[in-house]
This record gives sequence, structure tokens and C-alpha cells, in this order.
Amino acid sequence: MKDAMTNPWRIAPIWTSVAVSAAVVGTATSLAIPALVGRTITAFAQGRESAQLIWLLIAAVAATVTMGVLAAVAGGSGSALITAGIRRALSRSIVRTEGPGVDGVRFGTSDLITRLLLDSSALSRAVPIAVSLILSCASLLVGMVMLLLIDWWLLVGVVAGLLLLTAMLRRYIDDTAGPISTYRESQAEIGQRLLDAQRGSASIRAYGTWMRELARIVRPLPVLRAVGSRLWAAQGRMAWRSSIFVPSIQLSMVGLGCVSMAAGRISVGQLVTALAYSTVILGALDGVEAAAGLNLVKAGRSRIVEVVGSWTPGRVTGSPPSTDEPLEVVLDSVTVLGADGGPILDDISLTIPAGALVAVTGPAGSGRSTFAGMVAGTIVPASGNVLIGGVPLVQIPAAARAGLVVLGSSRPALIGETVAGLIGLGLGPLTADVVAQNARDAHIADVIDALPGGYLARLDELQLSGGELQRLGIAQAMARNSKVMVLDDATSNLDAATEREVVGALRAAGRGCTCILVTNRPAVARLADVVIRLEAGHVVSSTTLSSSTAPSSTMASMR
Amino acid sequence: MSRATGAGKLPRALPATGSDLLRDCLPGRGAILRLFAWVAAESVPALLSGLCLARAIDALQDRRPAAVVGALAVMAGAIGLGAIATRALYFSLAIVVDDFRDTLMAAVVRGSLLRMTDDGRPGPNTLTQLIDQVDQVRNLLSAVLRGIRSTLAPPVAVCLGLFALDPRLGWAVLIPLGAALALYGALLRRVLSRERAAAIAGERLGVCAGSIVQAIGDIRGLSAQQWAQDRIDDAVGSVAAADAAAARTVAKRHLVIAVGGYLPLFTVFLVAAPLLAEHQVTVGAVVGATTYLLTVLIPALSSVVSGSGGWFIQLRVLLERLALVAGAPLPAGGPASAADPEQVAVSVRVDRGQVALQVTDLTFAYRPDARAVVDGLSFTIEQGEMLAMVGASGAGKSTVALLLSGLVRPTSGSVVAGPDQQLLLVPSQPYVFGASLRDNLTYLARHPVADDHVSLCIEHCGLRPLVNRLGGIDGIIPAGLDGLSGSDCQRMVLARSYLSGAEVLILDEATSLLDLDEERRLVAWLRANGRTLVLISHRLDCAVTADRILYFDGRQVVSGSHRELLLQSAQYRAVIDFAVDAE
Repeated sequence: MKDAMTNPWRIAPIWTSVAVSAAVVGTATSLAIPALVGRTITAFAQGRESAQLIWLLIAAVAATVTMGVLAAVAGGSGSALITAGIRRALSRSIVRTEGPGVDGVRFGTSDLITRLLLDSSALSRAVPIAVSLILSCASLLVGMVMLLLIDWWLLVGVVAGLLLLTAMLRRYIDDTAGPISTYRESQAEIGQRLLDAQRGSASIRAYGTWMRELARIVRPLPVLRAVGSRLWAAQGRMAWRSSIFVPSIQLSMVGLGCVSMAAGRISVGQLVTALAYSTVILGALDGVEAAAGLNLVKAGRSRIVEVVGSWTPGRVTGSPPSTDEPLEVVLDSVTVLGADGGPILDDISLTIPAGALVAVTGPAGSGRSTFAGMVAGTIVPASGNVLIGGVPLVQIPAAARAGLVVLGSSRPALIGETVAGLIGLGLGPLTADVVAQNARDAHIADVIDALPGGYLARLDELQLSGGELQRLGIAQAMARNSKVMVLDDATSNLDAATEREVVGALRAAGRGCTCILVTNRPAVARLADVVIRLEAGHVVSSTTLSSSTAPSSTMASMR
Repeated sequence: MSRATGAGKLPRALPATGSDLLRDCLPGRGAILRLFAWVAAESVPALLSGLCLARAIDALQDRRPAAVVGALAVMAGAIGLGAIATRALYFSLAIVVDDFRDTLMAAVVRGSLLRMTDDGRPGPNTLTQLIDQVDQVRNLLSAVLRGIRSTLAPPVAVCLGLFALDPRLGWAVLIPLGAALALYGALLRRVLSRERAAAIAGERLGVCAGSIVQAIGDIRGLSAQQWAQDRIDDAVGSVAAADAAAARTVAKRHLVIAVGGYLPLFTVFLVAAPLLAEHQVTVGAVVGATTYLLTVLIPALSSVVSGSGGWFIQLRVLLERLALVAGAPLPAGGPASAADPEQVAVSVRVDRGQVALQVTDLTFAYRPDARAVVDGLSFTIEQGEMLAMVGASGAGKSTVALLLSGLVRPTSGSVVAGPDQQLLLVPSQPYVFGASLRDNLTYLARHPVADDHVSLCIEHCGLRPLVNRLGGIDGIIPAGLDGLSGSDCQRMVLARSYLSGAEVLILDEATSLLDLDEERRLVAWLRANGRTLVLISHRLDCAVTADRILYFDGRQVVSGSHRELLLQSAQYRAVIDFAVDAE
């Protein structure tokens, strides 16, 4: 995957080669035009026949225009494909990254989206920019050879000017490389501040402080401005210097040309040709912006490789145990480390019997949520193993885990377009009956029925309370029919009576799953067969409650 | 670059269209006129290039060396002046473009804030995209303005120079050039719609990927990675298709160079050949004319095709999209007034000095034809009392909180705050922002707060561990809130509410992530410090200690003390029995 990022053109080899060939041919024919124009003028001035020259000129112009169109179509289509290829690789890394520790912390949302949208298209411009640089150089050489053939005196002025321009160009690239990345950083800072405000929009509304928020969010603007003015200064310096050099070179050519014409060394048409080639040579100046574009390509590439490189495709090929019976969950001296390297969960070993309803309690910060994520496989332990039905979870690829274990969160994300889409997210088409049954089990069916559009109501138009949202999330988790269901504070916004009914539905006959509820409510813990209490990353107690509905082997064995 | 930056300058009216937005955000006419004056001055060398060459060649053929040197000297002077103009041009360009960016950024952020505080929804773009789009607009504006230098000014200079050489040669170029402009105009509409489609596809990708990245924890929990991957791939595919279609249309602009740049070569030859034979034009004039075409006009038209034309179109498309956000309508009643606590206290004055909040016959429905969410609710809260609202989810508790705080206007009835009683609504989703802890805590304080007072508050709200971790109360919380737990955020918001000095606090599930003990302790502390509390909680433990309870059973609201409600409402009794049983 990293290879494709180093040579992105490999994603669309045919379009790229068509575009490059058309650009090469078009450049060649366009280089013939000044010579033909000069000869035509000389023929005019000397009163000679010029029809054949005009036909040749028409052919050269037609070829140049046609190749221009072809190069633009092929280049545009190719870069669209290349951008898409890079974006797919990026999104795969974003979606599928697996590794030790807690996920998603390395890159912020805002940052990832910038990489996906901007850096990918910057990287896809690598080939067009490289080709235009190479062709500029080729034109430059051809132009110099043509000048040499006309009159070597004319070349001297151009070469001297060119050396100066190259020095200016190098300085310009150095001047702009540093500021560009500072600029991006302050821009991302503004984006992050705006995202924070969005998260707190209900509070900002309640406080009535939106004007202050506005001031706070745009506070990094002066930094952007300061960096921007450094870029402007570099551009301005380049521009005014080149506005002296370029016309001066041509002026000196006119002067030298006049001397040569007076001496009879060149014709008047050759002077026009020479001037046109000097424009071609100095047109290599447009390579200035193209070369600055290479900085963006480089920055884009390193920002993309940073994400894509962090993803190691899973090589595990294990399969989940296939059985209709509930499965046992075993934690074998599991340790999970936090971002600071300290343990969040410290060497935990326990067995959760098949089919049990387990409550995990503990004070805030005791590692409850990490426990949930670790059992569900979204957090990979630094050491130790989570075994479900005897199979280590890490040996089962993520794609095969859907029927095995599911994690329900306290604030389910509204994704999947419609209510039915959310409940059946990622499960392929479900029948309306199945969707409705899960909604009923989660005690959300009445709410959905009352929505305009019912199960087809669009998620972005919903106004749900926290409790309704949680019940929708539980319906979503239930629809997976997983052998192990982990709910992380997923009933915290339900009123006591509803919560009791929902928990009852979880253990209803026929589901046949092992349920692990992370909760800070004693009322829920009381419904469980086993209560595990965490404190500071350790299991401090594991109580088995006698309950008529519990399976026979409810002993959570501490090892 | 001396202008004030930041939120100081904003468009006064809310712009409705892309061109409104452009006009509102561009700096004053003076700066723009200055810019164009410098562009004109900068084009003088191009204007004189062909003319001077023609004069020099004619003088050479007439063997007048002094006239040759004179023509070249005029050209050299023009080049010097042109360079001075270019230098001034870049200063003026930097001011115009960066002023524009600052104003646009402020306008867009303001629009997003208004939109999210109105209905909590972002616009068609994700917020990150918005910021990127503002920057793209800046780059495009800069490219378009610089493009005017290299595309618009040269053809004008060439035409003026040609007409000065010989009007017949002038017409020979102007007619095909005019045809090329007409062709460009005809292509423009098509190109515009293609580019717009590409921009919209790009936005959809941003929204799709943004929602997936934000929900990545849930997606992993549900093992729905394949689904997420497919969604992003679909959006990526649409962008690629739209981009390729746009590129095909844009490619047709190469015909513009053919008609406007190369065709004039032939028309000039066609017109000049007979005139040369009859000695009506000089060889110098023909050389000057072709030099104009080859060294000025064709390179300028090529740059239209390779970039600047597309930049103008992309700029238009992006501005249209941003105007949708920057032009968000002001919420009814205005966002500032809605939350101003003084607005809540309507004209009626309450004589009893002890009343904190008096609610009379409060009724609210979202639409006139809809069922009333709150129907004829009346109660009074004395200063220092605690009122709890309990009941099923979705029964209207949060709506009552919004009505009490004045953020939502009732359909009928009134909410009257007691004299000198400031209200503050604390929503369930805690708002903490990237700044120092102190800034976060004193965010709502009306007067400077003494350090002792802040420290005391930190102790009571259980924030000491956080303060220690951040290295003091001036420790910085990073934007994005990395490493901050939800319960820490709630503690900070409670401390902030206390330090705001508001006498009446409406806590809408503002303690939901705290443990029962901590919730109970914090509520007791707030009451001990004279705060009047309205508590919305799904947990009953703290609520039953309130002086008065409003129980929402889903159909009606029953009010009374815990004891009274136990006697009055069988449903309430059942709920309490269940909770006690569970304990």
C-alpha cells in the first residue's frame, strides 16, 4: 500500500501514459510553430512563395490543439482515478486500523478529513506536476538549441538570465516550504475549536455566548495571517524580480538581434523566431509554481503515508466457534495500557460462564469502559488473551466477529441514513419483521411507529431524547444476534422501569447470549447473575447472586 | 497588512448568495481600484513590446541607428516602471486577499455557530470542510486576481498595441479573439454546472467520511467496518466520476486558444500579405504583430486554459456553497437576547422577595396543530428551594427546562423570575473548550473571581485530580479535549455554573455521568451555597430529596413533595417501589 503512495500513477497506468504521450507530442509540435512563423515572415519580407509553409503551420497548430485536449482529458480522468485510489487506501486504514491500546486517538477527526480530502488530491498531482517540469526542461533545451542554430550571440543573454532565474527559483522554494506546514496546523486548530463548539452547541445556546465563541474560534487567525504574509513576501519578491529579468532578456535579444541583422547574419523572420523561443525558454518560469506544487505533493505524501503506514492489514484467519449454545468468556491475565503507558486494566483473569448476565460496576475512572471495549475486541490488550468459546479473540478477523461479539455504546452514533438502516447497520438487507422485532425487544417500536416515515424516517431529521437514542442503539446491537453482547452504559438514560424491561428482554429465552452490562446503577446490577466490581483497573469483587432465571453454573471464578 | 484581524469585521447583513458573500467580504472599493491600477501599470511593458520592436526594425531597415536605440530605451524605461508596479501590486494583493479571508472565516464561523445553536445541526458541509473551503477560496481568489495579470491584462494590451501599429492588423486579431471569448462564454455554463457537481460530490464525501470517523468506535463495536468502507468507497467513486466529467468539459477550453491565439496568426498573415506587397504596412509592423501573438497573447490564453479560468469557476462554486452556511438565518428572537437572563423576567413584578421563579399556566406545543408537550403547568419555587423533575424519557422535562430558561417561548402562560434572580440552564452535554482550566471555569463569571474562590470550588467539585494532572489551574486543555473524561467535563461545567453567580440553576441531566454519592454531595453543596436548583434526573436517589417534585408520567404532570406524590400517584409509587427494591 505504501508503494502505491510513492508511485501513485500506478493506480491509473493507461490514462497516465496517454496523458504523458499527448503532452510530449503536443509540446514537440508547439515547439515547431515559432520556426515556421519566422520562415513565413522571411518569405513575406522577401516576396517569396509561402503557401507550403502556411500548410505546415496549420498542421502544427492543429496537432498542438488536439494533443492539448487529449492530454487534458486523459490527465483529468487519470488524476480523478488516482485520487480515488489514494482515498480508498486512506479510508481502509482509518476504518480498519487495529492495534494495541485505545483506538482513534492518534489523529483527530478534523485532521483525518483534511488528509482524506486535501492531501490525497495534492498527492494525485504528482505526475502532472512532474511531467510539466520535465517538459519545461525539454522545451528549454530545444529552445536553446534553436537559438544556437540561429545565432549563438542570442543565446548568451538568455543563458545568463536563466542562471539568475534558477537561483531565484531555488530561494523561492526554500522560502515557502516551512510556512506551508505551519499554515496547515493553525488552520486545523480553528477547525478543532469549531468542532468543540459544535459538541457544546446546546450549552452555548443556553449561555447565549455565541459571540464570545466566535472570537475564541477565530483567535488563531493572526497566526495564519503572519504566516501568510511570509508566503506573500516570497511570492512578491519572485514576481517583481522576474518582471525585470524576463522583459530585459528579451530586450537584450532585440538589441543583439538588431546588431546581427545589420551585420546580415540573420533575417527578420529569424528574429521573430528567436524572440518566440526566448518566450518558450523563459516560460520554464511557470515551472516556478509547479515546483512549489511539489512541496504540497511531498507534504501530502508524508501525511498520507503516516496514516496508511500505521495500518497493518490483519493476517489472522481464525474462525469463530460455530454453535447454537451460548459461549463462555475467559480473560487470561489481560493488561490494557493507556496512552501514558500506565495500566488501565491490570492483569485481570476471570471466567464469565456461558449465558450469564454480568454487571460490571465501579467508580468513574476504574476502567469500566476499557473493560467493555477489551471484551468486545475494539481495544486490544497489551498482554494476555480474551477467549470467547475457547478461541482467542485476536485470532478472529474483525469482519468475522459480527455474530460473535457486539459492543453497544451509551451514545450510539446516528449512522445508516434511516432508522431501519441504523438497526440493521452492516448486516445486509434485513426483513422488516426482523427489524421490528428487535425494535420491540428494545422497547423503541412505539417511538419509531410515531415517527413520520416510521422505520424509513431519515436519521438527520430525528429529534430523539437520550433514552430513545439508547434504546435505538440496543435494538441495533440486538439485531446482530451475537453470542456475546457487551453494553457500555447503554441504558444510563433510560428510566428505571424501561431499563428493567429492556434488560429483561436481553436475557429472554432464545437469545442465547452472554450479556455483559457496564453500569453504575445498583438497580441493574441487581438484575444480574454476576456482579464484577472494578477499582483502579483491578477486580475487587465478583459476586454471584442467586437468581431463579440464572443458568446453573454462575460461578465467576477468580483465578 | 495593517488592518485589524479576527472577528472585528463581519459582513453586516447575512449574505444570501455567493456573489453577495464575495462583495461583503472583499475589502473596500479603494483597495480593489488600487489593485487594478497596479495591474494596468504593470502591463505597460507588454503593451509597448510589439510597438517598440516594430519601430526598431523599421528604423534598422531605414538605417537610422539612433531611432533603434531610442525605441529600445523607451522599452527599457517601461520595464523598470513595470517592475515597480509589480512590487506594489503584491503588497496590495496580500492585503486584499488576507482581509478577505479573515472576514470570510469570521462570517462562516458565525453562520455555523448560529446554525448549530439554532437547531444543533451543521450545514451541508462538515465543519472541518468549512475551514478548508475558506482556505481554498482564499487561494482561488489570490489565483484569480493574479490570473487577471496574466490573462485579462495581456489581451487588452495586445489589442491596444496592434491598433496603434495598424488598425487593419488590430481588426485581424480582435475579430477571432472576440469569437474565442464568445466560445469561452458558451462553455462556461456547462463547465460551471460540472464543477458544481464535483464540489457537491466532494462535500458529500466529507460528510460521509466525517460521520464515519466520528462513529468509528461504534462501527468497530458493531463489526461494521466493511459497511463503513463501502460507504466511503461509494462516495469516493462519485467524486472521481464527477471530477472526470468536469475534466472532460474543461478540456474543450483548448479550443479557445486555437480560435483566440493561433487563428489570428493566419488572419494577420492573410491581411498583411497583400498590404506588404503594396507597401501599405512595413515589415516591422508584421514582426511586431506576430511577436505580440507569440510572446504575449498565446501564452496568456494558455494560462486561461491551464488554470485561471477554472479557478474563477471553482471560486464561484465554493462561494455559493459557503453562502449557504454564512447566510444562516438568525434564530427567532435573536441568539443573544434568547439567553439573556433578564429577558426571562417579563413585565410582572413579584412582590414577595422570596420567590425565585413563578410559573403560571405554562403551555407549549411545537406546532399549533400538535399535541401540547406542556399543558397548563403552574408552580412557584422559593429562593433556595430545590425542584426535581422526574419521569419517563421523552415526557417533556427538557422542554420545560428550555421554557424556564427562556430559550423557547411558551405558546401561552408565563415564567417570571424573582427580583435579582439570574437563571442558568446547564444542558446534559457538557461544553468544555480548548483553553486553560481557569478560562473554562470562569467562562460565565460576571466579575473577576479570586483564586481562593476558584480553588475552593475545585475542591468541592472533585476537580483536584484534574488540576494536578494539568499542572495547575492555568494548565491548558487541548482543543479536541484529548484525555478528558465525560465526568471531568461535567464537574467542570458544574463548577462553572457555580462561579457564574447565577442564583437559579437548571440542571438538565448535568450530573448523569457522576456517581450517586458525588451527585448527592455536589447538589448538597450547591444548595448550602444558596443556589435555587431545578434538577432533571433519571436517577431518583437525589430527586426524592427535593422540596418539590414534578412527576411526568407521559400524559400529565403531577406536582408535590415526595410524601404527597406517594399518596397521590399510584404510578409514582410503583416507580419508587421499583427503585427501592432495586437498591
